[in-house]
Amino acid sequence: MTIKLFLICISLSVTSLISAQPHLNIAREKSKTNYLEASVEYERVLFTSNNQAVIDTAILEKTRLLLENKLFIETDDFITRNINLIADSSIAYQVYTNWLLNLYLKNNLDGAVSLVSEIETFYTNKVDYKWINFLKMLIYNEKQEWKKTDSIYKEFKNKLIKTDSFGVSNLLQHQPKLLKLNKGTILSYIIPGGGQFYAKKPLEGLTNVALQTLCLAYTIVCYNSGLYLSSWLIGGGLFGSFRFGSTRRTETLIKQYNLKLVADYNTLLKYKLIEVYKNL
Amino acid sequence: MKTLCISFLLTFLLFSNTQAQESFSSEYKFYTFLNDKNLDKEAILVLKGLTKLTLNASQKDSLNFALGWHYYTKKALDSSTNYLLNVSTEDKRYNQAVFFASSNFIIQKKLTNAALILQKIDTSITDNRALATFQKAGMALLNRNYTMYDSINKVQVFDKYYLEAEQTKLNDIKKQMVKQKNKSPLLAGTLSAIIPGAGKWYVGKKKQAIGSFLPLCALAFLTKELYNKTDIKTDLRFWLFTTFFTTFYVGNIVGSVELAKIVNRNNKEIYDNQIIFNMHIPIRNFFN
Repeated sequence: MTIKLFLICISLSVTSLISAQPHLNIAREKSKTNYLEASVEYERVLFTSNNQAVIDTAILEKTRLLLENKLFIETDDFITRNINLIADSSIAYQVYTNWLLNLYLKNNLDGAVSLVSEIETFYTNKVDYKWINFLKMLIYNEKQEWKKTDSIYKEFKNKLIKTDSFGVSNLLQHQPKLLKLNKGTILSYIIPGGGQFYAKKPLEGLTNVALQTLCLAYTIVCYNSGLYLSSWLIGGGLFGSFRFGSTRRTETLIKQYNLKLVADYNTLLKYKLIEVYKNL
Repeated sequence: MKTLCISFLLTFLLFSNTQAQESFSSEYKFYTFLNDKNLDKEAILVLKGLTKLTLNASQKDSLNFALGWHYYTKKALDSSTNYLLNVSTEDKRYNQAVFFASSNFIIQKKLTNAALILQKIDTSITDNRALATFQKAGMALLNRNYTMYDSINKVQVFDKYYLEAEQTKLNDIKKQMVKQKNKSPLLAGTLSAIIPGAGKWYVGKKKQAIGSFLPLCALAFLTKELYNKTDIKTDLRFWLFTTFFTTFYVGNIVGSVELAKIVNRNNKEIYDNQIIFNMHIPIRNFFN
């Protein structure tokens, strides 16, 4: 009986000790399977812990957890709320770099640019030159500020790679030539279908010319037959619709063409930059 | 040795019970911490975790209220009502829970349920009685039962600071509703049949009326011109435009009838929302 009681006491003591396991370890364990439960445990660390080192680690690990789960808005909120709680400057730097990555992935490019300068100012000794410049090039590429990308790449190349084996310099020298919206609009006003030709859609331009000619012909035929209302309202109305519609269509086509050109260039440059970074 | 073990067990049991109490209390504080940070998913996970613990009556009430309130703030009204109605009469927040549950029903336009729930309120307390009566008055307005609204207003004097302003607003809304006449769909259709677009003008949509009148006139003149100047037996254009005109003409009449119905429905919705909003404010003000 005494031995049984003794064993029960031992078992209870062990259970009690296990329940006192630190929340940080639980959070790490849960982060492998369930991000939400892990998130709760990291918050529990922030709620209960008096140990500054543990708090710092919890903030860094939760930032990474949220970022890994592509929760960009949540990551932004979490860092904004907790960045000032971090005491260790090397952990703060790591959180800042994750924040920068988050802003880039969230497409908050202006925020990312401002954070880059903040990191470079406050963490001069800790900044990883290679990484921060790589990210800067990606950010300016997304912002379509290719002159800035070019100047960063030149410096980057001189310091780290010397040879331009992936042809990034060449690509940066041949930036996409965008179509001009004003030119396209004026052309479509002067020449029927001219705007569509300028926007590299000749078939659409020809169809538009044919339709405008048909409408004009109908207007004239009706007018000559004494059907004045039909001439003005149907023939004239349709002709006007195609005429002015053609100008609006040209604007849309030019915007679409430019967007595609920029997106293709962006993607190509991004992949080349990633290749360069991978091979460093 | 035996005595030592028994005393250890007793101490352990006492310690575990205290720990359970503390566990609820600390978890509840942790929930508040998460809620203050707007970490909704995390907060609800913590609250749901508390439901798995063995709780005493008071703790169950606190948990039900917290869950009810949480879902209320997140506009999950069905879940909110379920939890709020589980708060027992012994809890000090019972009346608050009932008022908010009834408010949830009112927002969902389940007025019968709201009225039934309001009967559970302890009306021996003056504030509760005033609030409950105010809610009943609001529900009478939502039902467009002006006689009942006036009779409630006669019996109950809403002289409480948290009711005065809203009562004045409800009175104003009632006056506007009495003045406002519903648009007749039949009249709108008839007017549009006589003059295209006139029905839309009548229901207050003047731009739509002009937008219907002008194209129909143009189509009418075109058809007339084709009738006069072409051989309608051989020229298909006349028949084509006659079909266009007839389609647009009939469509305009049907459109006017539907527009009158939509305008009436929208007006009712606007007033309902104003009433519900003004019914809700005193409850929020009083309990917050």
